[in-house]
Amino acid sequence: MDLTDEAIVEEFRQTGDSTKFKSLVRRYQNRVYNAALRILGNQDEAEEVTQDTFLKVHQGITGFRKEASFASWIFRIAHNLCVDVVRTKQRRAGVKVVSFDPQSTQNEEDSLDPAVSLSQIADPLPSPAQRVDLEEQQLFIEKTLLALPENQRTVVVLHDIEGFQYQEIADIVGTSVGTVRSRLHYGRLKMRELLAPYFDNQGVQAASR
Amino acid sequence: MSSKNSQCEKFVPMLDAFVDNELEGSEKEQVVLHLADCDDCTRQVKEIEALKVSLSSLPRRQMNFDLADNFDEVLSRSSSAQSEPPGNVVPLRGTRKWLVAATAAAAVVIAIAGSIVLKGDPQQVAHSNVDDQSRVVAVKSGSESVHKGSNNSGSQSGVNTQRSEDLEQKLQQEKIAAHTPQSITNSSAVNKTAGAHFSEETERLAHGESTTALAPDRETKAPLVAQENTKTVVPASQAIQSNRAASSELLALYEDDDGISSDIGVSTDEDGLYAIKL
Repeated sequence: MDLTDEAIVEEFRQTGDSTKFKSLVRRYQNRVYNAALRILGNQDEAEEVTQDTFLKVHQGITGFRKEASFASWIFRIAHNLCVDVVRTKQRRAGVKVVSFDPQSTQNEEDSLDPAVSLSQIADPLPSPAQRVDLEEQQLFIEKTLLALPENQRTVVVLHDIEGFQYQEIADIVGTSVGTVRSRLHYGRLKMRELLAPYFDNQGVQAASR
Repeated sequence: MSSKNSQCEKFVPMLDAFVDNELEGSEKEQVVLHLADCDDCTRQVKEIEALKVSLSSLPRRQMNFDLADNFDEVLSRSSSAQSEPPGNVVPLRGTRKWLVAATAAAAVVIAIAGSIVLKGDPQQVAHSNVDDQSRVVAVKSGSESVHKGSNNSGSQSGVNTQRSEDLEQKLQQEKIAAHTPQSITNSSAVNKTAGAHFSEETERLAHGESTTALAPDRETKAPLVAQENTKTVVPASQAIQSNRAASSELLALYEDDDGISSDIGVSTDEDGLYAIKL
């Protein structure tokens, strides 16, 4: 039976055995990378965030408290790094920086105009009449996900892709469960609107199958 | 069963949490009751479930390399990167190094002369001794440049002391009017002028301007100004007066409003003057 993350952390703390830490890296590197890639939409940035996340984990592992799970802790670090990357990009692009403050008054509903979001998708989606294969379906979904505001996208990724619960996401993102619920609702609603032409109740358009 | 009813507005925001099984008991029961009576919300629930399936079915991307296998290397690279000077510290090379060395060397001479002049007043002497310590720390590297001919930095303080004693004897022999109100006034004027030059240099360094001609300029300008402002003092005391003035200038630079020495942004390492904090 595999040791829990927390047990491995404890062993690493006590022995300083680097193989223990590497087993944690091996366990989480692709999860962190995948989430960062879904949030940032850029491979290089996602790799850098993943690498920096584990450096920070290594640096601060003695300060890890078992109040939250190790997974929540590591994803919180990764999330903060993603936020830094997004803010830097927005500053460079001269775009208004989206606040990630839990107390932010930003209206979740107004954060994305459908017309604008479609224009943000690099390659336009094919006509609904066109048949699409599974790979293309996934591409649509990935692009639609990237069209969401970062704070909604993060919550959708953490819940629907990484499988965290609302309370865990609230801990990771540093906000309330109510805000998580709201962001998840508006994020999914926007995705459903964007994907509506391709959707039936079973998922992406049945014509593709 | 209606396709849309008046309660949808209340329940639609709860549908995602309902699908995620994140609703509390009473809320969950209300949604269940509403869904039994609302086709539109039931359709939305199915869409949400379908979207969740689609998202969870997205391929799991993997890194192009195994970070775990390469973590030691990543860690060592990170450590070496952290040991480099931070972004706001610029390693000094060539003319900048010479400029600061020359400035610091001038400061050593001026500081020694200043302490001699202040010796007449016991309180001032005490104050001066404290200040001397901070000055020595601040200009250590520069003074090494000044005394590099001796090739013995360990004897540096001895040289300084000897020079100090010589100047003191000379001062007493010539019996100059070092404490006259006139000279104090003049030295104050020099302080401001010379201080302005020093500040200007610091400002230029901070902005990364070329300082190729700055070191010689600094060496010639400051004494010139000092001489201009001390014309009324007897000729034999001119050099000492100007040194004293610049000494006060240094005190002003190194002291806070409270008279406490503070970091002026020049840091050194064991090899000598290294960087200026911009």
